[in-house]
Amino acid sequence: MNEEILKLMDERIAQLIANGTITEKTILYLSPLNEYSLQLANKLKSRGFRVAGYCISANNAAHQEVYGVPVMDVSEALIPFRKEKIVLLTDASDTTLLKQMDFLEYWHNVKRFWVTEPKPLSFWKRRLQRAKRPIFVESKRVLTGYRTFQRLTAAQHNQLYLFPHRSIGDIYLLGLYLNKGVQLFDRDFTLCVVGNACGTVAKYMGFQKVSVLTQYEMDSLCRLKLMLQDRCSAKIIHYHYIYHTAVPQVLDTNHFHFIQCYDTLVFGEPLGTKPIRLPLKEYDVSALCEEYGMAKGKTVILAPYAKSLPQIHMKFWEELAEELSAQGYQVFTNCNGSTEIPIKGTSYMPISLEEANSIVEYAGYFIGIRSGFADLVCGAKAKKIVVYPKCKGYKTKLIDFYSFQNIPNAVGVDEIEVPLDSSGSALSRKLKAMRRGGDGQ
Amino acid sequence: MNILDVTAELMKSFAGKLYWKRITRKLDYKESNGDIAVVLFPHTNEETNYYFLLYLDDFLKQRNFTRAVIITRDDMVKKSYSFFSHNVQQCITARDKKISRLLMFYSLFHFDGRFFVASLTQPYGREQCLQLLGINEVTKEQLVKSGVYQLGNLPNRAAPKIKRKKQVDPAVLAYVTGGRDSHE
Repeated sequence: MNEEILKLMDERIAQLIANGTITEKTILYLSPLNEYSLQLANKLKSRGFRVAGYCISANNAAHQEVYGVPVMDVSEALIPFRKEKIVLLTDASDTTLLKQMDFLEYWHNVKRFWVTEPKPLSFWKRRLQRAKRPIFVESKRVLTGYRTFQRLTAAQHNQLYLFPHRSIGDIYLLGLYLNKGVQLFDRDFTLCVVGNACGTVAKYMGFQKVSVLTQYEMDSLCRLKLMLQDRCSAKIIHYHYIYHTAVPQVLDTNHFHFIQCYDTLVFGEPLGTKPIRLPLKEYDVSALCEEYGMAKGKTVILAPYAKSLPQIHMKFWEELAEELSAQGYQVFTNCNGSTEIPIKGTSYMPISLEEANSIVEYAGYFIGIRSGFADLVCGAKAKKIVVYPKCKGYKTKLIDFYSFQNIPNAVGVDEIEVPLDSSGSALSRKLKAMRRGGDGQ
Repeated sequence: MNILDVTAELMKSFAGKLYWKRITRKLDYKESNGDIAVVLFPHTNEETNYYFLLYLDDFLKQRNFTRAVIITRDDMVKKSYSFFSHNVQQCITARDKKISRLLMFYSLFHFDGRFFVASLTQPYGREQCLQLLGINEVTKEQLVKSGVYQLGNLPNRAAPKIKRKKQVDPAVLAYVTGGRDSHE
C-alpha cells in the first residue's frame, strides 16, 4: 500500500470529522472492497466509528462478510435514502458504481466522498490527460454513434429501433406488443439490442431483423440521437429515456404499472389483457432434463438472480431449497455465467433462454425472483411463484409495479413479497398450497 | 444526416462549454464549496416556469445547495424570482443562442452536477414526460416537482404572499399571486 495515500486518507477523514460530516450518528459505507477500504475500516473503528458495510456493484460478493463487516450491493446498502448515510470511496474508477450512486442521490462531495485523492500527475501526463477530458471522450462517443448508425443503415435501409438496456424481460414484452400488432411495428424496421441474450430473446419472440450491439455502441447511438434529435431517424423504445429522463419518480409517486409505461410512453396504444398468440418454437427437452437427472413434474427450478432488483438474502433460498428437498422435490438452480453460483443443496442447471419455457414445463415448478427470466417462463404450464423483494425506498411497491397481473400471457403466476433479509419460511404458506395442487401438471 | 451535421452539433456544444466556463469564472464557482446550483430557464412565457420557481427553494434544500444562480431570457422570471426565493444570488440574462449552446453541451454529457435545466421539454428526450399528463392524476406541477426536481411526494406549495403590493408591477403581482389556477 502506498504510504502517501494512507496519509492522505488520514487527513481527509480528519477533515470530514472536523467539519461535522462524519459524526457518531453517521452510517458509514465504504466502497469498493479493496485493501484501502479494509485499512480505512480499521482506522474508523479505532476512532470509534462503525462501518455499516462495503458497497460493491457486482452481485457475486454480496451477502458475504469481511472481518465482520457485510459486503452489500449498492442498492441494498443505499436504499432507502437516509440523511445519516455516507459513502467513503477509496477508488473512484468504477464509473458504473458512481452512476448508480448518482441515481440514488448520493452526490459527490455531498453524500459520497473520495478519501484517496489521485497522485499528482507529471507535466507530460497532465498534457496527455487533456485528451481524456470528458468533452473529448463524449465527442468521440457521438462520432462512434454516427459510424454505427451508418453501418447499420447501410446494411438495411430501414427504421432503427434502439432498445438501450440489457433486459430480456423487456424484450419479451416488446415481443408481446409485436405479436399483438401495434402500429409502431407495422413498418420495416431493425431492432437493435445490447448483448447476445437480448438478441436471442428478440429472435425467439419473432423479431425478423435484429442487430446485436455492444453497450458502448448502443450508448453512442443513443447519444447521437439526443444530439441530433429529429434529424437522426433512429428511435429509442424504452419508457425510461436515458440521460435526460424526467419520468422515473413520477411513475413511482403516481403508482404506474410498467406495462402502462410502455403503453403510454412508447407505443401509444394499450397492450390489453387478452392472451396473445406467440410464435414460440417448442423444444424437446426430455433428453436434456434426463441427462441432468430431473424428475418430470417433481422438480423445482429456483431462479434467485436478478439484474435490476435488489437481491434477496441467500439464506432465504437456502432454507427454501432445504424445505423443498425435505418434501421430496428435486431442486435445481438456474444460474448462468461465472458470477451466479448454485444455491447450497441444489443441483446446477444452466438453462438456455429459448428452452426455458419447455424446461420449466418439464420440471413442473418454478420459484424465482422477479426478473427477465421470470417473464420468459410466465406463460409455461407449471406452478409458478414469483418473489418480490420488499424495498422501503419506493412509493410504489415492486410487486405492484412489476406485477404479472397486467401481462396478458402470464397465467397462474403466484406473487409474493418478502423482505430482503427474509427467511425461507415466508414461502411455506405458498408451498402448502403447491402440495395441495398435486404434481403441477 | 451526415458527418457535417454531427460536427456542427459538436461545435455548438464546444461553444456551450466556453459559455459555461465564462459563467463559472464570474461566479467563483470553484471556491463556492459546491453549494451554488445553476438553474437554466430556457423558455420564455412558459407556464411551467412558475412551478420551477415555486419549488426552487425545496429543491435547493433537498440537494444541500445554499444559493442558486438563474440563467434566463424570460422577463417575468427576471422580475419575479425574488418573490419565490431569497436564495437566488444572481439572475443572468442570456440570449437564445447562448442558451441553445449550453443545452447542446448538456446534451453531450452532464458536465456538472450543479447545473439543472428547468424545463419539461429541454434537453431533447425530456418532452417524453408530457405524455403522462392526465394519466393517474399527473399534472404539470407534479412533473416539475417529482419529475425534474425529484422532490417526491412533497405537498403542493401555495403561491407566495407579497406584503407591499402597491410597489409591485401589477403584471408581476398577478403572475406571482395568481396561484396555480392561472398557470394550468
